[in-house]
Amino acid sequence: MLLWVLPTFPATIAAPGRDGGYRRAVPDRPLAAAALRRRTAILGLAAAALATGCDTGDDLGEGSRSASPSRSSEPSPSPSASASAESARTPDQALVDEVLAELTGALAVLAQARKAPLLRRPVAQLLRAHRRHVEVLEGDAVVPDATGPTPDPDVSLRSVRRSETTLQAALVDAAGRAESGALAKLLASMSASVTQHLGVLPQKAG
Amino acid sequence: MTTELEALQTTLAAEHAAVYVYGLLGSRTSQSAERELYVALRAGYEAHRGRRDMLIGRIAALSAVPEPAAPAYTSPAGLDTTEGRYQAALALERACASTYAALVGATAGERRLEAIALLNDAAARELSFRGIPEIFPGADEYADR
Repeated sequence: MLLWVLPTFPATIAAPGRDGGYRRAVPDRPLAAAALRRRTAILGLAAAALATGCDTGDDLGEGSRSASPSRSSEPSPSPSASASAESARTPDQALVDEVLAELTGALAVLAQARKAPLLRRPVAQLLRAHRRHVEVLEGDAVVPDATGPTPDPDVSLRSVRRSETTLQAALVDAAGRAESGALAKLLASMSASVTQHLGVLPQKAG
Repeated sequence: MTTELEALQTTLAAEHAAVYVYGLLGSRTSQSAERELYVALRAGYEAHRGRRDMLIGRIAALSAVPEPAAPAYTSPAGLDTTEGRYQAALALERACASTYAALVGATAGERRLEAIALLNDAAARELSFRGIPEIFPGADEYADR
């Protein structure tokens, strides 16, 4: 039998979690570089543990020693707790936060441009796309309220184009840096979506 | 787990098929009466042919044997009309986008950046075949959630 259908990869390579967004998804496969970095991190932790010594079994590390000597009965987040929470974040989680910040910036520009009646339609598609992008990354897709007078449509259109071009480059960069292949695929797909939307954005508002 | 080599071989197989389909579409399209489609098909054919050759080089550089093209391929249906040829070309680029997106997930470093560029190019090329912007090109698994 003859086939023309293009071969594609099995869905298991980069499938997101079915029950939620990306962060709940199981990383698809540890890339060699990522595995190496993790191994280095583990070795680093082991070295730190050796350096601090093992003489006191109840000492949890540097942070607990530097906490305030006066004990308070009120439970409050200690500097050591927030520091360890910060250090527990994976590089990919930090990357997702970076991307969410970029998307929030792009949404703000779109919200401002949407005030110009001539731009409502072209901007609506982009808003819808970015809301979904934020949702999949498990961020809050809140479109900020636009303030100030109705902008000049052509000026707004130029702002949208500039903002989306910046976002596209940021997504490409983030996809290149992601440790998880699944996250890289998702971010690359988002960058391709922005490429397409830029391709149909009108040259002039009128 | 798919290795980078397997991913490159799969992408090469996709490029072999794409070169065949573009050639077929081009042969059925009038250069004068369907100029817009013809130009887009020609550009697609040349792009995929270049990628096929590039992938052959990449795979050979990994001391592996590049997958050859299949002996024959079944033609897509509906090529008798201009609209049918637009649709076939669009379906082809969408399939390529899925393959490139998977390649992104299976590679790292420079090869991943190349795959990202290929995905973006396929997404842009879809527009020249009357495609409309998607929210997750090449990653349909996210689209319905």
